[in-house]
Amino acid sequence: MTREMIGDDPFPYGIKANKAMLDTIVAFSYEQGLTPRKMIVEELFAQKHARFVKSGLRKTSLDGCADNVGEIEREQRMPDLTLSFVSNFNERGRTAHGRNQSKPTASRSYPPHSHPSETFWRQLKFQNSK
Amino acid sequence: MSSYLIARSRGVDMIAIPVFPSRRFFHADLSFHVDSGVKKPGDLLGKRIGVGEYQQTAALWARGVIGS
Repeated sequence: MTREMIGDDPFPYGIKANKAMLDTIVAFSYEQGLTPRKMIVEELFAQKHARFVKSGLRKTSLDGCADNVGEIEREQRMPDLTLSFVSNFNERGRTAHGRNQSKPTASRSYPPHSHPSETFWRQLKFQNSK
Repeated sequence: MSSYLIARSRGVDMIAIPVFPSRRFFHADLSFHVDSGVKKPGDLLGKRIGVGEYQQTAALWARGVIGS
């Protein structure tokens, strides 16, 4: 029954396999006032540099990721990328955002993009649009 | 994901890869008080529902799914 509902792969990679989910979240984000325009799914993801092929291996450590590079079928060499991290600023994100506890050097961090007053305004607007 | 959409819509120079290692059905993540009389999803009609933060992905899905 689970397979009937979800399919053989519950964690598909790539834009195509996730198009329905991505179209939905992009629409929700716009409807709820989080993004000023409806984002285009294709503009959100790197597409030109590599085709991502799912590996049969499940490795979770950072070293494992490095090992898996050979399993990414490359049409062109990936550029050196800085790992970027974006999330709202809250207690759980404190370490990741490098405040007080750690200062990551290999990654850039993007704390909140919305001032609390703006968030509050969105909530009111969304509530009144219902 | 929600924060990423906001960041990109505001011109932050970053790009994602279409790999989604963390995903689940937020439809099943709603909690309710045992005395509220809520027994099935339809009972939520007209009820007030709270979310953790407006921006977070879980809340984005919750509002969207419940609203549609």
